[in-house]
Amino acid sequence: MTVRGLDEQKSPQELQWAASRFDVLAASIAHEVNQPLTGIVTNAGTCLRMLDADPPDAAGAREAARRALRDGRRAAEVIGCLRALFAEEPPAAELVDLNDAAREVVAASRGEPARSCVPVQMELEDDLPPVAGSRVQLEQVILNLLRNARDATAGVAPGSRRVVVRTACGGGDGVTLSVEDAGAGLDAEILDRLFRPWFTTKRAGMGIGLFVSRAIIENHRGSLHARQNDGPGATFSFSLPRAPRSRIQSGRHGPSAHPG
Amino acid sequence: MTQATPTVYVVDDDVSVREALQLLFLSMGWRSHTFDCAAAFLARPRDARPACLVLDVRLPDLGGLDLQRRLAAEQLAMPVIFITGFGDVPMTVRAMKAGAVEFLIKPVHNETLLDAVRQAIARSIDAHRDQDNMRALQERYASLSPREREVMTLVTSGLLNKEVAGELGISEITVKIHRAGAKRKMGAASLPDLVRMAARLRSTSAPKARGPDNDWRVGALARSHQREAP
Repeated sequence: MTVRGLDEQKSPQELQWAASRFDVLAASIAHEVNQPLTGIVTNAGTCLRMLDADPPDAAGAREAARRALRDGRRAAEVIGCLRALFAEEPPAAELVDLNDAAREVVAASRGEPARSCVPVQMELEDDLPPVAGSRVQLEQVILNLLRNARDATAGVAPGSRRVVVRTACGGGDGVTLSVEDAGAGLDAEILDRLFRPWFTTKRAGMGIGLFVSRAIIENHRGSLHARQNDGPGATFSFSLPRAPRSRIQSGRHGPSAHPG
Repeated sequence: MTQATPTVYVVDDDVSVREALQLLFLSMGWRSHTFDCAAAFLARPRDARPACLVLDVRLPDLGGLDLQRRLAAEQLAMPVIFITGFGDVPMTVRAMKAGAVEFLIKPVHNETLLDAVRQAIARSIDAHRDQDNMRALQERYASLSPREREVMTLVTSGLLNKEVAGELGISEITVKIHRAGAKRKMGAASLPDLVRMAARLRSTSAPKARGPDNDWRVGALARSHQREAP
């Protein structure tokens, strides 16, 4: 995850950080995969048990097998997300327009039935500067934040359901994307736990968790934050440095030696 | 005598695990209720019996070991089985010392888990029976008059009727009457039987029963026993 180009300087502190983060991330991956795996092992065992019953319980066995399949697919999703996460390295980074990324993610997620009843408002700043990084990974992060926001809002009365995705130029040379919900909100303790690797959200199905989201953002030299709104609900946001001008000028092929 | 259907409570924040375990327990003809966090479990309407709890150490709101501690404090006859994807030796030791039936690492072999649940349910049945017996004992003790209780305390701590009479400032005949009354109301078949009952009432782990006056507390029985130390 912290593989960098050979031309980049590594400070001793940076290497240490990378090592310990990998440790924690590995534990997180193991845990995320172990859960559906447990489901598979248990369900398969139950399936056999039901077939061995006298008389055999075919309907029950079918249900157990169906669940094992669902768990398997879930585990595969985790692996798939992780593959996407580790597949790209910053040196091969592309220019990413966060507005485009946000629009794509929102459009794609409309198909998710459980979440489609929560409308998403978009307040995207015009002429948002692009960032340098992995489009796939950043879209994963946006999707994660969006799903969390929709889940948080689902429990609220229909009239007050609201999720707002905003982009803006941040302080300095940064670009910020935030997802605000009008849900139950967070308390200090939940906020603290949210970013631990094994904190899982309540719902079925998955996406990358907040721990991995933050890892992606930090790998893009940005930062991810969560805070309670003044009103109901919470806002999750990340900020990234804008792509260097040399990168913008040279497009996908890395920084060029001389501008112009 | 037919036993009541066992109930297995499952607390795990992962849906795959919750549903797989529930299906397994249902296939055994047991009842099973699942919860995705400690708060949801603690808010359950009432306790089935006999029952046990299958629980992960890591929950979104409260650690599994903290939940175990809370349950122990409430003296529920609901033994705990830990099933977790994350376990180190110190954690296992703490859980077992706190009375867990088992500490299993995911993924778990079904038979291993079922054995642990059977063991836990057996413990639950025993614990409920003991609690029922203790409650009955305390109710009977509460039905004694204050004087009968005093006599019972002193008699069961080894004093002769004459000594009891002297201690309480009453006649020996009165002592005999109260002693017989206490023995009858407690349903004791003999003096040793009564002594055993007194010992059980003294035990500090007993849940407390209410009585007509403050003397229902086990402490009162113990304190009056200390009064006549030589």
